[in-house]
Parts: sequence; C-alpha cells; structure tokens
Amino acid sequence: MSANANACERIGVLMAEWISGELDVESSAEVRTHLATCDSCRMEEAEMRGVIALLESDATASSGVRDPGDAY
Amino acid sequence: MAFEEDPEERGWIERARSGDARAFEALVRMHQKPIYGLAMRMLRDHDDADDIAQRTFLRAWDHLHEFEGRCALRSWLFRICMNLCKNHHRDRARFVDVDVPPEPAEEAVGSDRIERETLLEKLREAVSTLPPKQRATVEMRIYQDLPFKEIAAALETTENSSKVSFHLAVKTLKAKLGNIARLLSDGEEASR
Repeated sequence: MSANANACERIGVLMAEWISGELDVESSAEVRTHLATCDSCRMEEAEMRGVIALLESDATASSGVRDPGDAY
Repeated sequence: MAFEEDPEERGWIERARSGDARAFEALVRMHQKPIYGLAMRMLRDHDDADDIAQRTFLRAWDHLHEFEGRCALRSWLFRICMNLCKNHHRDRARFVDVDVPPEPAEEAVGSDRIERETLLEKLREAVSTLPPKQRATVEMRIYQDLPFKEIAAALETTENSSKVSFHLAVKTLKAKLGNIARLLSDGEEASR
C-alpha cells in the first residue's frame, strides 16, 4: 500500500468525527490539510456527509416513535 | 478515568448493588428509553423490543455485582441488550426483514413527504442488511448518539475498530443507496 493510500485510509477513519466536529485541533488540521490535496478523499467526504445527514434525518424522524413508558 | 462518570448514577449503582430495588428503578428510568430504542432499531418490532428491554434490565439486576465501572453503565447495558438481540435473531432464525407497516397517511401529507418517507425506508432497509458489527455501530452512533469510546465498550472492541466499522458501514450504505443520499442531502441544504 502506498504512503498516500495509508494517509487516505487514516483520514477515512477520522472522517465521521471530522464531519460531526468532534476531532481535536491537531487531527482536524491533519484532515483539512489532506483534503486540500486529495480529490478522492474530498469526494468521499461529500458522500459521507450525504449518508450521515440522511441517517441523522431518519434518527430525528424516528426519535418519537414510541416511549417505552414505565413498563420495566 | 476512561469515561465521564456521573456521580449521581454512581450512587444509584452502589445502592442497587446492595439490593436497593428503588435505586435500581432509578437506573431503569435513566436508561430505559435508549435501551428500548436500540432494541427497537435492531428488531423493528415493538413487542420484541419491549421484551428485550425488560430482559436487559432483569439481566443487569442479576449481574450488577459484575459491573466493575470500567465503562459507562450505559455502555454495559447496551452490551447486554446487543447480546440479547443477537440471541433473539439466532433463536428466531430470522433477521429484520419483517416489514414495518407504513404509518397511515395524513390528509395533509404532500407527495414530497411521501417520497421522502419512501427514501428513508430504503435507507432503513439498507441499514438492516449491514454486517452485524457495522449495523450495531451505526445504530449506536447515529440513533443513540453514543461516542465511539462507548460504542467500543458496548461491542467489546477498540475505539479505532469502531471508527473503522462506522466508516465501512457508511461506504456500504453509499454504495447501496447510490445517488439517493446526495439528492436528499442537497434537498436538506436547499430547505435550510
């Protein structure tokens, strides 16, 4: 695996927290720098944002489905 | 400390460990909604989810002395719940292909909303076909809003492994959904 592929793999792992704004300053800078020079990771970021937004939209829609009440 | 401990919860746990049923009831009240929510997401059946949630707390009561406090109680309860869901799937020899009946359409519901609901249903189906670890990670991350550290504790894996699972899951969902995710995302941006 090339050094760049390794870097892309690492950025992919950090991507979810990058998108949700949970990364620390150092890791955020790492992701930002990588995205500035990597077209495929930028495309992947856009796609992940789409899927995560969709999932979160479903989570919001599902959150009031049913309250378990005091059954237990 | 590996996680942020809630002192009030710690107090309830200590009292429940010494046999105080009222203290345990307080813990149940604190966690019953997310536990039921996780079971419902995994099983997609209200009665089954109720049953698994009840059994989660019964098992927790029986084994509370084994909870060492090395992770959040919530993570420990999620782990019990996930194991019971897995056993449920195994015992029933079926997965979540049970169709959830659609909500009756309201009179004022527009076609956009119906179309959106159809797309979200496709998403739910796609999530339900993910490999078990990826699916559990997505359920806990997105639908239960857990940090990766707690997901790792619940699934007895490492934090990095949870992040990898989530990444793979999102990639799989993207592949299954094609352009749908982007279209919906664009629509959300436009409506803001």
